[in-house]
Parts: sequence; C-alpha cells; structure tokens
Amino acid sequence: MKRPEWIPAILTILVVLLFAKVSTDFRDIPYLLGNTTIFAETGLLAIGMTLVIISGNIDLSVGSTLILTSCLTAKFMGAGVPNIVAIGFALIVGTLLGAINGLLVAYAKLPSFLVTLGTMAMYRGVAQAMLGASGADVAPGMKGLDRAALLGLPYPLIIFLSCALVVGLLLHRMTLGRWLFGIGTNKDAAHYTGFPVQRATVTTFALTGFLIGIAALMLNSRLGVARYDMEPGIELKAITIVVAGGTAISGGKGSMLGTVLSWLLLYFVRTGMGVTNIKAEYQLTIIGLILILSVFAQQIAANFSSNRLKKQTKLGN
Amino acid sequence: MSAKEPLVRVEHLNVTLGGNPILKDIDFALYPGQIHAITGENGAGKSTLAKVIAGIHQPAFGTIYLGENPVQIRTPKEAIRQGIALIHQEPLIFPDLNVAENVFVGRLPKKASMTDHREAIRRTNEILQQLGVDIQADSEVGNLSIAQQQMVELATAMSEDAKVWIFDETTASLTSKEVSELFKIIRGLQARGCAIAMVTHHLNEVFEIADTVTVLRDGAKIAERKITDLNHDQLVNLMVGRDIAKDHLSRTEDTPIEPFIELKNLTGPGFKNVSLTIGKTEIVGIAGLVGAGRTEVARSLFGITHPTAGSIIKNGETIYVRSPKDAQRQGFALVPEDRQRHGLFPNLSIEYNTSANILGASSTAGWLNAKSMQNKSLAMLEVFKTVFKNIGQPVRQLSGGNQQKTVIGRWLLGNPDFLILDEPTRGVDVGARREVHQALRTQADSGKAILVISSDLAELLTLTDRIYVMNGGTIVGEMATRDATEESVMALAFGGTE
Repeated sequence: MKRPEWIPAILTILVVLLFAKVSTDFRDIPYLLGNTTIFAETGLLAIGMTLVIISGNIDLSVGSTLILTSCLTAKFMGAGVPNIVAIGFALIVGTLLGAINGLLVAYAKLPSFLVTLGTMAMYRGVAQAMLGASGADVAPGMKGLDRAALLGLPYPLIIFLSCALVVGLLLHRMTLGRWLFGIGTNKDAAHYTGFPVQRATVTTFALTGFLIGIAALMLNSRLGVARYDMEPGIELKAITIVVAGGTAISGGKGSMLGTVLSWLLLYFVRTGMGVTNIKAEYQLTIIGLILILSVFAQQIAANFSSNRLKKQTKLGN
Repeated sequence: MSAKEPLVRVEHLNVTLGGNPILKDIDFALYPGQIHAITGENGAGKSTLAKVIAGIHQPAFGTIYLGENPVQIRTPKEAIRQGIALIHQEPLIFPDLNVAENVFVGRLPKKASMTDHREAIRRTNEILQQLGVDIQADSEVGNLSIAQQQMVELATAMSEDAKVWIFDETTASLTSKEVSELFKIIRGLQARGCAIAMVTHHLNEVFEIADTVTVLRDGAKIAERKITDLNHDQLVNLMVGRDIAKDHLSRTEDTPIEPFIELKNLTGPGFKNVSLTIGKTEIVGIAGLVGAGRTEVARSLFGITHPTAGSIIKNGETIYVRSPKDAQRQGFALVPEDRQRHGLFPNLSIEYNTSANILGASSTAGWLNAKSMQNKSLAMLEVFKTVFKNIGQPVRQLSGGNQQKTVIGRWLLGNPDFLILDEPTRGVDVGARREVHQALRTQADSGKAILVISSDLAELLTLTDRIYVMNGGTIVGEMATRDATEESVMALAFGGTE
C-alpha cells in the first residue's frame, strides 16, 4: 500500500465494473479500444507534464504548443511532401517550442507558471494570426493514419503506451529522472550536489515539446484540418491526469505508472458517461470530483503510512 | 545607577526548543537608564533570552515581571504593547511599503474611517527627526540600506513609545560609522530613561557602550558584572570557560605535509586576501564568529560564488571553479552549513539522499545500476552507524544527526580528494558527533585533505591539526591545534579594534 498508484488503480476497476454493469456498449471491447484514439493526445501531453511537474515546474502551454505545432505542420507540409518529412517537421517544431519554455525557465530564471502562461497565449495567438478563422487542410497522406491498428490496438494507443514506457524508464531508471526528483524536491540542494539543474530543466521542457509534436500529428491525422481554436482546455486535462495519478503539484514526487493509470481512469469515466448519455455539464462536475477525491485519498494514505513508519522507527537521537 | 525598580525582570527562566534546553534558570533584570550587554559564544543562548522577553519564544518555566507584575508575553505584538521593542540584526520590514507605512503598519492613523497617509507621514517625519536620522518618511523601505532599515524599526518602536529596547546583534550588518550613529541614538534613549539590552558578541562594543554585562555560556548565566570591574581578557575567560576536556584526534603520523590545496590572496564576496594551505591527510579548521566570512570562502571554493581576485591552487596548478559541478570534477566536496536548504532532499528516500553524488559513477549511458547504488549507500550508512528503519523511507523522518550523516556520507561516496565541511556537527548530539569526527579522521588518514569550518571551538580543538582564525572577512591568525587553547582562538576571533 506504500505506492500511491493503487488509488487510481482501484478507482479504475470500480468505474469499469460500474459502467460495464449499466451499459452494454461499455462491454464492447473494440469500441472501447477504438475510442482511445481521442484520448491518446491528452495522454501524450500528460506524459511530458509528469516530468515537468516532478521537477517542480508546470507547463500551461502544452495545449497551445499542440495547436501551433499542428497548424504549422498542416500549413507548411503541403500535399507533395512525404509523410516522413511532415513527421520530422512536427517533432522538431514541438521540441523547439518546448525548449523555448525551458530556456526561459532555466536561464532567465523566470517562474515556469508565468513563462508558460505567456507562451500559452502566445503560441495560440501565432496560430490564430497565421490561419485566422479558417483552417489549414492536412495533407491527404497524413489523414486517417490514426485509424490504423495493430492486432486490434489502434496506433495512437500503442504510441501513447510506448512513449509512457520509454519516458517512464527515463524517469525511474536513468540519471535524468533522478535529477528531476532532486530538483523538484530542493533546487538549491540539487545545485549544491552538482546536478545540472539548468540543462535538465531545458531537456524536460524540450522532451515535453517532442511528445506534443507526436500528439500534433495524431490530431492532424484525426481531424484532417488544423485550426487555432482546437482542443481548448486540454492543458488542464493533462494536469488533471498527472495530479490525480499521484504526482505532487509541489514537485519531487510522482510516477509514470500513476499517470498512465489516471489516464485510464479518466478515459473510462469519460467514455462511460458518454455511452450512458450523461449530460456534458454533469460530466465536468464528475471529473472535478474524481480529481479531488483522488488527491484527497492519496493525502490520507500518505499520512497513514508516514505515521506508521514513524511509530515503527523509534529513532535514535 | 540609582536603586530604581527594574522595568523588566525574569526569574528562573528556562527555555527549551525542540526538546533541547536552551536557557537554564536565568535571572535577569533591566533597569531604567541602564545599558546592559548580553554576551557569550555562538549558541550560548543570548538571542533566545532576548526573544523570550520580546514574546517570540515562550519560557518552559520561569516568570517575567513588568515592574511588579508577573506577565505572559505571548507574541511580539503583546511585547510592544507592553512597551518592549526588539530590534533585529536583519530588520523585519515590508520592503514594498514606504517608511511611514512600515512605522504605522496595521495601525495607520485614520480620518473619517479612511487611512490618513498624510498624517502618518507627518508623524513619522517627526519621529525620524527625534531620532536624528536623515530618512524621508515617504521613501520605499526596500531601497534603504540595512542601517536605515534598522532606523525604521527604531522609529516603529519609538512610535509605540517603547520603554524597554532590546538590540539583538543589531550592529552585525553595520559599518563602523553606522555603529557609532546607532550608539548615539542608544545613548539618547538611555538619557530618556529607557532600559536597554544589547545582545552582542563584539567585546569592543560591550566596553564602549554598556554599563553592565551578563555572560551566558551553554544556556546558563555565568556572571553579571559592572563593566568597570572587568577587563577584556577576564570577559573572554568568562565567555569561554576552561573546563572542556581535550580529547584530540590528531594525525597519526608526524610526517611533513605537502600543500595540496592552496588559496593565495583569495578575495570574493564576503572575504578578502584569504591565504591558506591544506595538505593531504590533514584536517584544517577555520574558526571565527558568525559573519567572519568563513562560509563565504567555502562557497567560493565550491563554485557557488566566484572569487574576484587571488587564486585557488590544487597540486601546484591554478584552477578555476565555476560551479558545484565543476568543483566536483576537481574532486572537491562541500557539506554545506544549512543542511535543510542546501543539503537535504527532505521528501526523498535515504537511499536517494545518500547516492545523489554517485549517479554518474553508477550508470552506463545514463542507465542506473540500482543494486550497486543501494549497496554503496548501505555501506556508507553503516560507516557512520546511521540509525534508520528502511533505506526507502524519506530522509526527513530521521533525526538531525542522522540526516547530517547521510549528507556527509553522500559526499564521501563521491570519493573526493578535498572535503570541505561547514558546521559538520551543528545540531548533532554528542554520540553522533564523535562518530562523525572519527569517520573524518579515517578519511584524512586515507589521503584526503579536509577543511572544517566550525563555530564550535571544542570541535576544532578535537578534530583538526591546524586552525586558521577569521575575523572581518580575513584571516587573522594561524596556529597548530596542539598549541591552541579556546582562549587564544577566541581572542583572535573577537579581534582587536575594527
């Protein structure tokens, strides 16, 4: 019970059992799998956000980065360009936009909240200035790729889970991850200990941008057109997933497994509410409730286990 | 002084902080028209005494009397209402507000239930004039010098019509000119019949301004004397005491030592012209008072701040240390003074904290070898006899002493050639302290150069081979530890005239 991930895990199982009982659609596995496509983009944002939050920062610009990357890719990668070039372009643009955030946070020493609040407005603003009210058509070769599947698993789902696995290993098994936990816990101590605080910060934001680049490609492929006003509020969904998954908003604590489980939970809740025709406004309320419930439960669990440890450890001096 | 009644008096005052006794059975009184110095070594409890009277700390036992009446002073606000003002070393001010708003914070004069800023400024200017200081009531306090900010605190106390004034190391951040201006004001207060207490460890100031001096040592009152009955040396003796047993962990062999690290006229933020040498297998100490510039030297050696002149030489070659990472590459390690702020990752595991310095050494292409890291951590925790339940528990659950052992262990795991420790056993109990000292001597014997900064003279006399003394940002003396006594070190640390 020491790991906080059991809370989203248990909630997920409860939600699945509940909806499977009340709705036959919810028992339709191919439907459930196919539906993940829409959520995979948010999931990719949440993967990067997990790293950013663990390192003691926040990235409010992930949604705008997604939109700008998607619009730029749609506009400049015209019909003739091979898919591979468009893919490379999106990944580079996403990485660069993320790196701008990282450089401002790490070297200009501005609070990430303010930097990304600024770029949140700016990136979407650039997209709007570029495209206006009209959309940019996505190159035909790029459309509908998201509907392809491997062994019944849609590609977006496979990509999301693979990214979570790779970044999860980076976070929990590699030096970069160790640095991030330290930086998020005590930035001064991290500096004194010789961690490359600035480099790690830039890397984290750039990596988040790279993942957003992947999400932008999925978005383009799914919608076939890029507009500046797509996916409003997706950054808050990403933050919700991360925090409900047990990552501490104050930094220094969290896990990729928690984020993936929390993503699953929100996915099942959303889909379940969709198939049972719960009204949209209730859906939002329920999502908010789940967030608070999940964070609250983790708080209680953490206090409980910490008290128990203290009692067991009759510490010398 | 005449046999007036004291304005404030404490009886049998006992204070404990975090379970440790800080003040033991103190009797103390402040009379009108008297300047009473409270002095003692670092950690003797002098500031605590000031803070109890000013309502910041609560006594565990004992009584405070205002005139005849026993009172409880639960908050600084209550203290000021009773006419007791505390002036801090670092002024507590609101930097974004102007002088008048600071002086009248929370009680701005009102006109027709609106705050009357004009009236506040008029009254503040009046008070500032009384104090004889040249500050405008409408200047923003953040733009003032420390000395001027202290004047704002004085003005606040004056506006509250304080009768008892407690100055807590108020001169520590002032230039000598500012000090003499402050003393002029204090004498003015004295003439008006206020009772004044001055917490200070500058003996010159004691002799310059005080009528009476109370000496504290280890939380107990050692003496209260008229200043005319004492000379400088007698006062130092009272402060230091002479009862500490020598229990020396000196070098095992007496071979001559080649210098390994040399500082030549190193000058930087907070220190100037510091020259010293440290050899392999040697433990060298730096003694001095808080604020003497010792920590600043350590920070520059470790690349946290940067020297502006002079050089750092390692093995005969001049080196430049740009960052802690750079310092690490040079084989340096720093156990910082402020464990909570600069050393610990409090919410992360003991293992994380212990192994934070060997990430590079324990990984191939970025992949960590968890097993090897855990084994090394466990071995290091064992060396220091660290007490813990399980290596995955957050380090904040450990006691201060065990936390410190993990921080020192972290740096030793990196296998440095040159280890700098700033207050290595502050807040560490006697047993753990002994273990830390022995581990450090073992490390030195294995060929490391070690520099220990400590305000605890007993620690330096036990642990080191040589001691440098710093005062006012520069080195004022050097001696072999076997020739050093607490008195000789303290005499240098307190220094002659500024």
